[in-house]
Amino acid sequence: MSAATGRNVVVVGDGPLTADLADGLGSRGYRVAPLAVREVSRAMFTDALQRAHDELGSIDLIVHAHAHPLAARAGTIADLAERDWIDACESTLDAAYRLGQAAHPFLAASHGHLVFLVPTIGLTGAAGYAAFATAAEGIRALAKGMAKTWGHDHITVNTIAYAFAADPATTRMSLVPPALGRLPIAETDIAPVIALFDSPDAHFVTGATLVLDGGIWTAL
Amino acid sequence: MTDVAHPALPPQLLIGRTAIVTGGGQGVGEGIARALAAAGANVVIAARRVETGEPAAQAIRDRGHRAICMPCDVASRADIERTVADTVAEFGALDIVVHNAVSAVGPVAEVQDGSDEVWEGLLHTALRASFNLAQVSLPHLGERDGSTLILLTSPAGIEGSADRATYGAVKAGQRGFAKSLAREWGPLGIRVNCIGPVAMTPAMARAYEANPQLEARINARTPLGRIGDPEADIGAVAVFLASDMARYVTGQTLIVDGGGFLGL
Repeated sequence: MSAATGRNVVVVGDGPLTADLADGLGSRGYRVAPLAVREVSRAMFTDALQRAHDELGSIDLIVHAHAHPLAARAGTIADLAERDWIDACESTLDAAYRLGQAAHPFLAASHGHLVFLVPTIGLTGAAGYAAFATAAEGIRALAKGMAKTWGHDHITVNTIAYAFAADPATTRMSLVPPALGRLPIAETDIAPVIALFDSPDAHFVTGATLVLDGGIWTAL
Repeated sequence: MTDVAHPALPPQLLIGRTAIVTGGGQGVGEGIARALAAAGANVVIAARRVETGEPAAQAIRDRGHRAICMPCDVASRADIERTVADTVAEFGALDIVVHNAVSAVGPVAEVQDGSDEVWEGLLHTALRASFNLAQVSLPHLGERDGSTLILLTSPAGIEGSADRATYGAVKAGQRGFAKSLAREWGPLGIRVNCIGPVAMTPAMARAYEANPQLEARINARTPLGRIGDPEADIGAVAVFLASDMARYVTGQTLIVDGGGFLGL
């Protein structure tokens, strides 16, 4: 049985990535409350977290993997409508900000952990995904800011940058194939690292970005 | 800043080039506008407040260089479209776009206490404006050899900001945007880079006034022992990035801070 038994996690987002992360954390003994982003507002996140708190009894860990659906859709800057930029970039970044604001009292109460998931394209840049890359880097810096200010509340905030399979250039960042031969699987490759950030062994890790791409982008 | 261009600035490097500098009416933007003009560029100071933009342009003209002021609120796409169109109408081309303007960072606040107004202003002026400037400028930049987009970011965009996390977020976002655009526009021959400055600006002067120990603290943590000059220190790097000397440089962030922030 996993050491995480009895830990409560809220997994924020929609789509296969979030579902796979929830499955992966559930299989490691977490009690999982999914949080679908119906609208981007602090009030929505506060209400949803309160419901999760009421259901679980406490919130030990929040995993934010949300992005607006348009973010992962390829399109050059020349062809992107301003409205789509607002959705793909600003809405994605705003959701991370609002979730963070809403999460603070719950995590302060539990001395909990917040983990953001972003694609590595923010670090590497990606033609055709500039809006998502912009939001991803913004989220990473938000996480660092939260980490710096919430240390005194015994909250850690970290980021996992995962290889972004939708961008075919991701696997061409290195001149050689991915060191581990493939892209990560959320359930079995990413979820255990999230659990690591939530474990007592990682109590001194905050403000960090862990690149989880199987050894493609090794510039840090 | 002085009445004459810094002697380190090469006077001929940008002859025949035309630049737009947003937020060029004061501070780092003004320093960059002066340096680009001193290097020979035609400079358009795109300023939300003409009362700072016009004197900045006049000061450049007083040195014998070419500059005009155009009113432009970068939060407005219509303003950006008009500024780019008027620049091309005035000078016949657009080679260099420097996006420096950003809205007020607001008072010190933890994330959960942050102001919605400050956050929305930063999203609009730093990120949406970067997108709109890039998109509107692209047809003109694509027509010219050696054209470039430069975004002003910050060390806060790399290390995060404890008390102004939203500022750090949008400055980081601009780096992700620049890297992606560098990949997207590389095949078009357009370079995209960032500068992360630490320099003496009106905002910094106010901070010094409010906190008399701040200057000594900044100088002490800076290996070069002083805060940067907007023209001679930051502007010179903008001239380099805008010139053919940097023709193989794209997708990069140059932190120009006297060595205060030594990141990876």
